[in-house]
Amino acid sequence: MECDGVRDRLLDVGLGGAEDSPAGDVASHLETCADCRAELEALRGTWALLDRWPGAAPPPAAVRTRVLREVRRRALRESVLALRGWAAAAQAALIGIAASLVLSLLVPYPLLVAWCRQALQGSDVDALPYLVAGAAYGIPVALGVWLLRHGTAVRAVEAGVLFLGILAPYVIIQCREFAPTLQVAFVSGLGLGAVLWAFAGLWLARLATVDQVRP
Amino acid sequence: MPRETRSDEVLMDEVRAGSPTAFEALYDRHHRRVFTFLLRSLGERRKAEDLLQETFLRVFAHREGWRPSAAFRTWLFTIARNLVVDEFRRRSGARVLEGGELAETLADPSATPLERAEAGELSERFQAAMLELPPSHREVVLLCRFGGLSAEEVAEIIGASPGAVRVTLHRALRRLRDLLGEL
Repeated sequence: MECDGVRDRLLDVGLGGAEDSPAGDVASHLETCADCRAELEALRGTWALLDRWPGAAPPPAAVRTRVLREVRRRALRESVLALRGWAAAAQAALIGIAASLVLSLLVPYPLLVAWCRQALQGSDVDALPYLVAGAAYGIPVALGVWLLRHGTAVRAVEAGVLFLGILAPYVIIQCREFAPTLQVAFVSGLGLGAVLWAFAGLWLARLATVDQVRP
Repeated sequence: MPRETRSDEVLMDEVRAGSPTAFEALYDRHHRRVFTFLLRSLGERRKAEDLLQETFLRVFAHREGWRPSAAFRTWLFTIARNLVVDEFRRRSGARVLEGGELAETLADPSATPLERAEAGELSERFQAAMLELPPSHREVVLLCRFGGLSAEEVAEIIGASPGAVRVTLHRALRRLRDLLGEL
C-alpha cells in the first residue's frame, strides 16, 4: 500500500487510546513505513497537545441549579395543563349530559327505541334499534365539544368517555325494563354515539374556526 | 453518593416518563463535556454557560422527539452544535477571548500572576490557531477532542461519513501542528 493511500486514513488506527489496536492494511503499512509512523506520532502529539489548552474550568453550580429549577417548573406546568385538558373534556361531557337528560325527559328511552324499531323494521328482540337509539342520546356530546372550540381529538375522546362513564348508571336504571342484551346494546350505542358525536362536534368547531379566518 | 450506572438511553426513557432525577443524572454526566465544547467553540464563558443551560432545556423540551434508537450523546451534541451555529450566525464572526473573560476563565486562587499570564498567553495561542482552521475543521476538532465523540458520532451530527470526519480531523491536526509548533 502506498503512503498516499494511507495518509488520509492514519486516524483509522486511532489517536492513542488504550482501546486502539492497529489492524488492517493501514496498520500493516505502518509496520514497514517509518515516515507514516512518524506522521501518526506527530498527529497523536498534536492531539495530546490540545490537553494543554488552559481555561476550561467547569461551569458554576448556579447553572445546574437554574437548569434543574427550570426543568421542574416546566414539568409542573405540563402536568397542570394536562389537568386543564381533562377539565375541558369534563366540561364538554357535563354539557352533553345535561342536554341528554333534557332530551330523555322530552323523548323517553322506550319511546325512541320504538321509533327506531319502526324505522328499521326490526322485531322486539333486535338489538339494532336499541343501538341506534342509544347513539342518538349521544348527540348532545357534539354540543359540548363544539363549545370547546379549540378542542383536540384527544379531548373529544375524553369527553365521550366521561359522558358515558357518568351517564351510564342513570341510563341502566332507566332501561331496567329492557332485556339484558338489549340494555347492553342501548348502553353500547350510547358510548359509541358519544365518541362519534364528539368528533362531529370537533369537526363543526373547526369548520367554524375556518369560516372566521376566511377573508 | 452512589455512582449512576444506568445508560443514557435508560435515563432518557425515564426523563420522558417524567423523572426529574433521571434528568439530573444526565446533566451531571454530560454537562462538563458539553460546556467545554461550547467554551472552546465560542471563546466566551458567559455565553457558553447560557448555551449550556439552553442545550439541556431543549433536551427536556424535546424529550418526546428523541428516538430511543438514537444515541443520546449524539443527540445532545447535535443540539449544542446547532446552538453554536445559530450563535455564530448572529455574530459577524468568531470572537477571541478578551482579557476580562480570560481572567475569569482561568480564575485559580493558587495561581501566581506569572502563571496566570503564561496560561493566558497559551490560551490565546490555542484560540488563534483554532480560528485559523476552516469552520468545518474546527468543528470536527472541537467535537472529537473536547466533546469526546467518536468519528462515527461526529459524522452523524454533521451529516458526513466517518471516513470523511477522520480525513477532516487529520488535516485539521496537521494544520494545528504547523500553527502551534513546539509549545
